[in-house]
Amino acid sequence: MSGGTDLEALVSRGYQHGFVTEIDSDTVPPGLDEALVRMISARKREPQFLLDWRLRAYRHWLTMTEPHWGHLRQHPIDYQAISYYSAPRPKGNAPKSLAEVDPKLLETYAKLGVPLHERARLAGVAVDAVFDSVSVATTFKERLAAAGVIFCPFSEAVQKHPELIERYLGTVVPYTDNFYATLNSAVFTDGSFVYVPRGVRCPMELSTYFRINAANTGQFERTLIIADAGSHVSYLEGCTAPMRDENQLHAAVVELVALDDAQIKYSTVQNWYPGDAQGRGGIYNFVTKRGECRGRNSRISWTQVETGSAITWKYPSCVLRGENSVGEFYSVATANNYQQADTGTKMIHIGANTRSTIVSKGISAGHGQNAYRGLVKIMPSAHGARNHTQCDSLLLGAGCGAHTYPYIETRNAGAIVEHEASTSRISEDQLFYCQQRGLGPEDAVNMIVGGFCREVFKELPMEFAVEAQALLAVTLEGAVG
Amino acid sequence: MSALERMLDEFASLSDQAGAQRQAAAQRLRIVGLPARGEDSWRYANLRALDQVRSFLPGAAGALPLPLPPALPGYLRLVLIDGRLHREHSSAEATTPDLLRGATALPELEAVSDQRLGLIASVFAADPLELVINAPLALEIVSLSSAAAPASYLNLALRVAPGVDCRLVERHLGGPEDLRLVCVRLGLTLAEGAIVHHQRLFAVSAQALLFDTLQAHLAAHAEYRLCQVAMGGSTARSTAEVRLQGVGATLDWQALAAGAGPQVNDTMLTVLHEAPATRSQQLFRGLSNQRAHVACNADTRVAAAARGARVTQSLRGLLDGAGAEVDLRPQLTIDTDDIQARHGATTGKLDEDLLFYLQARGLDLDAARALLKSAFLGEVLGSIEPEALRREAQRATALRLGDDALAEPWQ
Amino acid sequence: MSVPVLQVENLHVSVAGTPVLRGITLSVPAGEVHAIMGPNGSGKSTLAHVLAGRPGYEVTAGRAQFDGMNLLAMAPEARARAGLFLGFQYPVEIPGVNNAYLLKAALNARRRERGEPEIDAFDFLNAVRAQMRAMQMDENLLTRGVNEGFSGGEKKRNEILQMLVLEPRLALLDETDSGLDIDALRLVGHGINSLRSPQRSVVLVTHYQRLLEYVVPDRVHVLARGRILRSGDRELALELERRGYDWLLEEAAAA
Repeated sequence: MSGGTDLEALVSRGYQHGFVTEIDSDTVPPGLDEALVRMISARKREPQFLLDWRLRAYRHWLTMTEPHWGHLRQHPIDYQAISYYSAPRPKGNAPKSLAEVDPKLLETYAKLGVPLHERARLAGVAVDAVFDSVSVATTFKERLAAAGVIFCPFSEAVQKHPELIERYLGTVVPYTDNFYATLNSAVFTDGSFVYVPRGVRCPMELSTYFRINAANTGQFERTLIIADAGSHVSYLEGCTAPMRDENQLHAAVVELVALDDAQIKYSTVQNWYPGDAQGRGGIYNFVTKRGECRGRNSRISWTQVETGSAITWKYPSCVLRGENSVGEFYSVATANNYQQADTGTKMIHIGANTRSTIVSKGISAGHGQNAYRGLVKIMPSAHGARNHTQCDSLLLGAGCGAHTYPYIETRNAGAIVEHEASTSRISEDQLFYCQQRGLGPEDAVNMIVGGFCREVFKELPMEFAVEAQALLAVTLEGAVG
Repeated sequence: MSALERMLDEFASLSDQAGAQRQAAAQRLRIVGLPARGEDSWRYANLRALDQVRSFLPGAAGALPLPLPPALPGYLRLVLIDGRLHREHSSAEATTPDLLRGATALPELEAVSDQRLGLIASVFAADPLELVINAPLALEIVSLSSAAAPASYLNLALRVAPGVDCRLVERHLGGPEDLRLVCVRLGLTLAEGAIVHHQRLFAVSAQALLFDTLQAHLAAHAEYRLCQVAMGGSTARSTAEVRLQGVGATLDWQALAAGAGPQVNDTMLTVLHEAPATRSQQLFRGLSNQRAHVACNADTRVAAAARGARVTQSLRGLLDGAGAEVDLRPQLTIDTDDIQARHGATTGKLDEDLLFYLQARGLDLDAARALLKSAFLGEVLGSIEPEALRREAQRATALRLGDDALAEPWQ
Repeated sequence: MSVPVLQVENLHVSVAGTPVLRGITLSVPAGEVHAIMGPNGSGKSTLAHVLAGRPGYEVTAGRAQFDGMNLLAMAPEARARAGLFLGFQYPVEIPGVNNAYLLKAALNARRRERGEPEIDAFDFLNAVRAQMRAMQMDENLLTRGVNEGFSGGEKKRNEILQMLVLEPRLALLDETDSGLDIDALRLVGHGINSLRSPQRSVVLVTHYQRLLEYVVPDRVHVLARGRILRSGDRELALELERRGYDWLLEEAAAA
């Protein structure tokens, strides 16, 4: 825990990213039909195979019904009232370098705390900023290009590496997978694409910032990360969004593919607007994230800190196909005020000697509802598979709820699955102990909560870990006493 | 015709013999229907098996289909054959009218979870019985199903008066060749301070379809200790709901489910903590041999009013042999912060280190495996009283698992 | 004449409506070590907890002053920052929060209170290491969670370690000797003695005489049935060792 955090400043900070950029957006009127799907594909000049894929997905979507399950109370979403495309209108031709980017956009990035040039360069992080539906600038392409790593907006990858897209897109999350993934497959506008060649350790952590701007613009990113044999990559995802009155929809799809001996680490610190203290107007966050350990000895780790969004519905999952492959899931999810979190993971063991580790820490405060929903499935072929799951819930205050819904399905007699869960509140004894050592009640709670989450925080890349700690403290403000 | 339609059709053919409550149950069944495979709490139950039942009609009163087990010392006995009370073989004191009433209208216990399979028993049980327990009692209910009847139903209600301590043993037995439906419904109401020790042994035929539905409502400071040993059938589903409605009510639930060959043995327990200072302890041990599918769903819900609740769940499954499947769902829904709740669930095989240890002490592999399995099953079997019952449970388990060594007393 | 570090006057305390302390009067001058002994259930721990500010205790009458400040009006952390240390009888575990972190936070809270700058990480580690060596505690305990997986003896030594690093004005040690073997007892005694100075005071709450072999008290008070029945010097402790508590209780009952 960063000892020098000034809690007063944090507490009064409120939600600092609440603002809207006045910019000329090329926004399509709301509504969804086949013509819109064709229009999106045409504007992005996509090859035929991709348009065909989108159309198959759209037609399939029409046959599906919106899922309603878990503990979630959601306002009905009117899919015809959402605008599916919004690109900032470029002045003249598209910018080829940072210097050519619309200055107002750069100012937006500065407000977001992402001075693309300065901070990114110092930290050595390449930033692919997705502004609404079009990626504006990508830096450090040269350094990555030298290593052979491709890191670019998805739409650019479609133009430059269509064969990779065609080979891998939809192979981990098929367009039929679930309602939101199918919708995404039809109308996704952009996202990140990463390809790390054989034996290459990506020289820096890759990161992306994005936000939703124009009202009623759903955000449908598509991200595809491929780690070829023997490669390593670490990817960070962090989001902010402005204050809005109406709920906004975020239905992204992330696909990860790890081939033999490859490793992918995907970290998320989510800071969506959570709705005001009465629960009005937050972000609906329905995300399908799945990684496939396709190769032997491959590894995929998901690490996430979720503090925000009115409704979170996401289950980053691993399909452990390759022998000896490893899937990991580390998560801290908080639900304060009237937030509802329904998160968890699925670990599907197919190959022999596959291993999975799940550490889920849920913190509920105010009238928040936090549910863990996980599946560990051991297929008959998964000889010697191992899973260990630890799910702990912490309740701060009498009005919140903490729920655990694991599914353990074992079909191989040689596999071992262990699941443990506990639910409690911070004990008065622990609080008093800290106070007797001189810590005020807020600091004591933050420290104990930090300790509760430590196993997850230590999996995050350093700078994210610091941001995550601060985020947690602000999210839980007012939950003490 | 679907199973539901056939059921309602067959009921219509004998409805003039059935009382108002049974008619009402049939109406309800018509409206709510039967659970469908896709529903979350029926995920592991093999409900298609209902389509294979030839007839849902209860059998007529008949003779003893198998020899009765020896009586348990100190226990009164009630004998039912295919759901009908058999007075000659029952203890006179057990059939006195102040204890046992043939009831046309059994008390209805309000349920939160899905009790639809119990409705079938409400519709078809020809001899619904009510036990009113006002004084300490040790009672054994032996329920036999015979080849003569296509289906066997039991619909039983128990009311235990305040402060009364009651020991109840339930044995459901059937011959080896029977392919039929055995459908049991039990409703217990424990008044303030009542204590019930309930032991249930299900050892019907391996071909039977066994659906057992139980509801228990506990008032303040009531204690319900339930120990259930289920050998299953070709398809078996045990559904229980326990509501801790009064301050300080406690539940101690232990269940053993075994399966061998192509069987499905599915156990669902819903525990509702509705009042302060309630406690529940839930322990499940399942063993799946060969291609059997053993599942346990333990759904515990703690309401905001249930301050000071204590919950522990321990679900363990052992898989033995190719094709074995175990599914566990320990679920906790918690709406109060004044709680201590833990659950643990594990599936796996016998510990190799322990096996080696035993071998290093001179046991051959088979004996070592049998010993560890016995120890595993013993966590539930060991608490069964009296000893005669425990031995019988052990033998039934050994028989079902096809492993004679398990029948040996190991303690 | 300087104000005593701790001045308790006619303190009455109830727990869940039941009176536990029935008029405690106690004065601990600076530089002295006082022992509070008594049979189990006498209220010794209650006194320590009330002075430290643990919730769940109701003060029904009386007052307590710490260096002249109204102690009972201060929040627990304020008492701590002013230099009051409670060595817990049952130290809690705080998983995921490492011992070093808590200690540093506590030390900095003290220093901020005194208007001093926060301690440098390097200096902190050096100071702590030195004390750990003195308490014969393995350094790797620093990186473990607070008291996590510690044996009973390790927990008590950890309390003393914290005390040594925090250098309190008044240390209230609640049955610090319970559950310790001979060696641990000696180390704990040594640690407490190393803190003795004209500026510091220690109150040892204990049932047995053993610790007092190592930490010789200036005054001994016997607390039983919520009252201080007798005060004396260390000879009183020896007499209790020989005769037990009954004779005192009978005398008090007769009076």
